[in-house]
Amino acid sequence: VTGVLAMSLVGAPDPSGVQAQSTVRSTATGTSIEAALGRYINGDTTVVDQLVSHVPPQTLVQAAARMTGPATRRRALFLLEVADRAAHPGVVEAAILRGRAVLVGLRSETNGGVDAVRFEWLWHQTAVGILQRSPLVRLQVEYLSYLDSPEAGAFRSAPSRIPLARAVAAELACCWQARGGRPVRSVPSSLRRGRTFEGAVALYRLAAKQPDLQREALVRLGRVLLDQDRPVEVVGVLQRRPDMSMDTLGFIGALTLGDALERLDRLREAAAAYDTALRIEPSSQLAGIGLASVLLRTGQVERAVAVAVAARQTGPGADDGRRGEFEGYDSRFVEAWIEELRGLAWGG
Amino acid sequence: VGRVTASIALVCFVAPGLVGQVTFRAGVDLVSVDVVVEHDGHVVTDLRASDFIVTDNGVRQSVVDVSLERRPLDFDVVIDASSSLEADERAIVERSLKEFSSAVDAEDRLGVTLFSSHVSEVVPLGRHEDIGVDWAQAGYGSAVLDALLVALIAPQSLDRRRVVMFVTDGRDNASRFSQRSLIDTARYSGANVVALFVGEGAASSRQTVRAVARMTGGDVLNVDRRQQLGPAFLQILQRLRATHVVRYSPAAPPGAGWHTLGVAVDRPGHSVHARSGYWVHVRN
Repeated sequence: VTGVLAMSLVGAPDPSGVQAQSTVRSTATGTSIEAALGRYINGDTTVVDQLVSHVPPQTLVQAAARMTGPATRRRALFLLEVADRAAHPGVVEAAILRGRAVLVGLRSETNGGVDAVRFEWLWHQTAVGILQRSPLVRLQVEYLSYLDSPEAGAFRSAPSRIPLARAVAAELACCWQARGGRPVRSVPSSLRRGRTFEGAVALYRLAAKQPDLQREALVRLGRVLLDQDRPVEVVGVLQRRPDMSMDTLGFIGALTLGDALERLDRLREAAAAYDTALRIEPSSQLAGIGLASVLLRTGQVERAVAVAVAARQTGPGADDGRRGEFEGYDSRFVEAWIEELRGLAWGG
Repeated sequence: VGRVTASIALVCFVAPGLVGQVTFRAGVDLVSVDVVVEHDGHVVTDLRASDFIVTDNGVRQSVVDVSLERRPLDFDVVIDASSSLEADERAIVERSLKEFSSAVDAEDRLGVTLFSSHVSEVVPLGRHEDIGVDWAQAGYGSAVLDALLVALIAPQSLDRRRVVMFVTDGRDNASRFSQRSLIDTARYSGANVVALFVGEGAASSRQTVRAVARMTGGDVLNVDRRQQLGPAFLQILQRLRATHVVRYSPAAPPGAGWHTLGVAVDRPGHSVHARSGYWVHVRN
């Protein structure tokens, strides 16, 4: 890593023609933010990866904070993509805050329109998905507060996944606990203050009233109730609407139901739930261990042993993958949402 | 009598081997229990039937035979091996395993499983001239209870004895299954659990592991450092080789459900390691 490059966030040849107004200096290997933005605006979206891998995080943070320039969809989206690719929480925060400011400016320039509303809506939704991946829970809590403010405009009343995001943020803020294998999260005590688990439960139940969120809200509610060792309520939430979907939500729902039924000594029902989880994810060690235990305890010894032997021989990949997807919340949609935003930004 | 025999045969069929130290043979009506007796820190090997007091669900049983017969041993060494385990510590553990492997009898078998937040069998059960552990299987976190739970459920035949040697510091930050699930599962397992606690610690999972070791007639050893694992493995081997097999004829046919066993020795100052009970399934 050699050389000192002059970089600008706003000096790229944007269609708006606005000139560079802030310059940062950094030790980078040849990818300047100025050049990156220019290439991005001209359609080279691969440049974002090069940028975040070559420019030191602190430089990106400073550059994003100082950025000025015209409000364009591509500029807003460039910042959102920087946030998406960056691993450093400071870069994520700075890029999203700056991008949000561009978005507000964009609103006054575009004068509404279906596309414009969709772009803004999807931008916010994507920002929340990116922030849900961040170890800093504070970021998603603050962003969701912003979306409740008058500045968020029409987004406040638009149908979205935000009710579920609110429940997730409330749960993480009140009750997140470190566990081996879980993504690392940081929740300062100031964020926990005044928040209760019951408050998070109420928000999950509220989200479940929205038809398109109901399934996921109930699975997540079941999961957090189990973490609080409330198996009776878990069964009430998850057994009422059996979920036969062969996806991660179906897997987590079945696994959670199995765990709850096992704790209630309803072992045959637990075995059925674990069987469902294993049908969805045959390589799940967690479902295998659960099933083996309840089979043994119900006298199905030979099958219990076979399942346990198989479980010991599976690697962590399947469970880690499912858990990563589940605990990444809406980040699983970010790639598709960004693709749609690109279409709206380039008029494709 | 015919009815009793049929019932016992059914138990044999339903739970082959998993009742482990408590075995039933149709027409014989004998319950066999493995017992290790210690006095002043030394294993005792000269006991007779008249020295043992055995109760089954609180009812005194008639001990008909005691012997030092020894079945081949299957050792399932389960090691807490999160990625925080340093390279030099791994080398010590591997060296201890090699020493242990060379100390067991020709008929004995050895397997190795690592656990972190997940469980990975890295050396399958068998005879091994050399033990090589694939530490790349170790990950983050430590699911102590989950790892012990799955170790309890394994193939077992009546003519071999299965011993889970569970090496951990007891710090659990990743288990999904509860203490109660583990204890309940242990009741059905025929394995002996020998817990080897490394270092100091009052982690709550140590209590649970200790309870499982006691319930299965196993043992608990504490070592200050991993360097002491090798001698501890050999100490376990020595104790297992001094196991009495106590046989009694049940005063009544063993009914379905949990049977609490009580085994004591009618000699002052002697301590006894024997499983705390056994489970009888009856298929509907």
